[in-house]
Amino acid sequence: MIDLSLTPRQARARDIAREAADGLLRPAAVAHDRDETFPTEALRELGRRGLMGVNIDPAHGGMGAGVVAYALAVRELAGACAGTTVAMMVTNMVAETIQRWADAPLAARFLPRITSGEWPAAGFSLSEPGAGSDAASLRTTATRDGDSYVLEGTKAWVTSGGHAGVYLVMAKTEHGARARGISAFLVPGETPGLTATKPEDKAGLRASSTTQLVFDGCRIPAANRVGAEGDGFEIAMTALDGGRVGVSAQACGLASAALKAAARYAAAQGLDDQGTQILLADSATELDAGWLLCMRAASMKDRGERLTREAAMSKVFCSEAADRICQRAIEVLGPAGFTGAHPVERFARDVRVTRIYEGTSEVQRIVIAREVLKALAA
Amino acid sequence: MDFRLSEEQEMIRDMARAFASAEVAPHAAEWDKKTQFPEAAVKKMGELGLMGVAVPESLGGSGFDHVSYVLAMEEVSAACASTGVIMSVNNSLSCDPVWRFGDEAQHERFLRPMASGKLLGCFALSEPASGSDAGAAECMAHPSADGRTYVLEGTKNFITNAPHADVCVVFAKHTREGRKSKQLSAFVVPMPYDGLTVGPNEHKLGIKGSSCSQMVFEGCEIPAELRLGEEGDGFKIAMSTLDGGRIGIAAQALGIARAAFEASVAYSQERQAFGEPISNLQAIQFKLADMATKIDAARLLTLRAAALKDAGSRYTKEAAMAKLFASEAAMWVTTEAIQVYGGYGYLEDYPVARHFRDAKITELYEGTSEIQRIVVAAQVLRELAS
Repeated sequence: MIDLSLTPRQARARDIAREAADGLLRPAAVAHDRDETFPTEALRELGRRGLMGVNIDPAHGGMGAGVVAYALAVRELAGACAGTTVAMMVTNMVAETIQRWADAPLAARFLPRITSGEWPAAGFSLSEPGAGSDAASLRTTATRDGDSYVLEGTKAWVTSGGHAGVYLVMAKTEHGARARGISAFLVPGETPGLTATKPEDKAGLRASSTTQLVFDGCRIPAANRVGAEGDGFEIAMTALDGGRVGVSAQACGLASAALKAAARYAAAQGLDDQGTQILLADSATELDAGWLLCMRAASMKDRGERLTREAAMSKVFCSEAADRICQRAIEVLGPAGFTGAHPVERFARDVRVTRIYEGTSEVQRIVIAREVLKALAA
Repeated sequence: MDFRLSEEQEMIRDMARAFASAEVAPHAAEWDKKTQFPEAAVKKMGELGLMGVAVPESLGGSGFDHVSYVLAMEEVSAACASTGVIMSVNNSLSCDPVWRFGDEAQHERFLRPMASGKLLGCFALSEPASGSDAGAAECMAHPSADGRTYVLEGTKNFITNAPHADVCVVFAKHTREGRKSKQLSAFVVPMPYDGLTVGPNEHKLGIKGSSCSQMVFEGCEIPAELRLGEEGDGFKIAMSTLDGGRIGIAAQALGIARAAFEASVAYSQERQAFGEPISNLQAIQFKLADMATKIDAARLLTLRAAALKDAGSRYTKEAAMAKLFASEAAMWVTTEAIQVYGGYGYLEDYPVARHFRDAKITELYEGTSEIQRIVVAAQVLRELAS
């Protein structure tokens, strides 16, 4: 039965996030964007408020509120500071992956430190300088040596690089094999042999730190492997299915904030021409369409259903719609929208990456096409 | 948050799908080519309860919800958009206002037979010189001095179903004084009627199996009992009826888009180029992915509007969004479907040319896309700018 309502727990997660967005993130967003300062304390506070484990069992220090609640929380936070929010999103994704795949002792070692905010963030490390969309071609290796693995290689585009307490790292345990040769590991940020490079100079999400990770004789206990050897690719792909719900929500949060700014500006300036109305109407319609796709995927994940097709649809639609919506907001504000006096130029810079990370739009389309061709195969 | 259907809703969808694939789809191309009204299919829809899906059983309808109506509309329209619009006009624009604003006598005389498919309804609001600006209507309903009759004078335009209809919900001004929105009144008139002439069937670009014509009222005297609601309620009745009608048209657009998408998927797997099926090529895959995504987004918007209507909530904005998005998605999907087919898509031998022609009307009737945007913007400014 179609039910558009929120449960009290979902509404509570949204309200907690809204309060954090208003009190914690928004006041600092401009400074973080300008100075590229990492919001360590704000992230820890998000953890203390339960927002680093929205879909994590309370036994592990999470909120236990589910995926719809998580998407609601991300939407609220992203409209305030999308850079801080991406660190929160990746942290939640890593926590969920640990909860789902790690054995009990491993989960007990890492999850509480992530969900409590003891660590400001957790990182997810799949991409490499030469392997992005084609993740199976990654070249970082993890070689078994007694009770340890030794990691060698370079990872790229790691959110919260240099700040995360732990990274979930995908590396090859079977040299020469593709997807089936990949395993997943938890690597504490302080491990010798692991260095984060200088953060990238990004167009947006400047509150977040994005670095390469260089593994040079980086030795970790074998017990830090998540799942079995060879599970890494599936672990990463499952995480990304869920991550795409998060990116969708982040895009919607930015789009929603941009639309609101545009509507308020239009009302304040008495812009009642049809040109403005059309911009607002298209943005509102696309935002709602995207949000419904996001909520559908989130509710499916809450029920444990397969959501590859729906998550990809949500991600490609929300990110591309949000990009248009942010551009339209600038259009409504005119030259003012192109200045730092209004947040919409920041939204427009921040939102662009939602079309790129956790699977580019092109990859989403390939995923969707594969799914629909399979479903409607002649 | 749940977007799954109930068992009953799935059952109605499956019933509509079975009917559409057996008795509508096989004839759709022929009806289109011959501009032939699908009389047998319309009669069968009445028997299946598809002509008054959401009207209570006690009033001759099926007593299902509007979500079910959307599902059935999508199925019928995927088979034949002409049959879809006939169904939509009867359900949304004819039964619905008579149900909501009619009195008991009007329910018995008009609603019961329309909802059960024994009579066919039509909805006459537009005029040769007024479409989007409905308040500018020139048709008059001159009240008699004793208030017992009205004389209808004027011309209505673009009236879907008119050449085949038995009942007309018509809007006319009982006065030219006072506020514009209070000048219109609504009437439900049996057809044929003295003083009412139905014009020839229009020659249209698409939905050729459905009929559409002018209606000319000349000295058409009707008893006051045929008025829907009170004098001056016409504008309110028209606008609220169109809110619901937009859900029906969104579902029609959705059906057209889905048909074009499914045809494209099938064709792309058969057609070879460069030594492999074109479905292996990213240029084609990206089109299929975008089609599927837009269709799903359109369906979610449409189901949301229907669910809000079922819950008794306000849904003006949501219906406008659904209609705007679904109709533009249908136009885009059908255009790209022709592209997937290449030159064959431009031939009437294949179904996508018909889908393409049929899609265009969904951006026009029951409020153009431009009107939907104005409706949405007004609501957005109200909600966000405060």
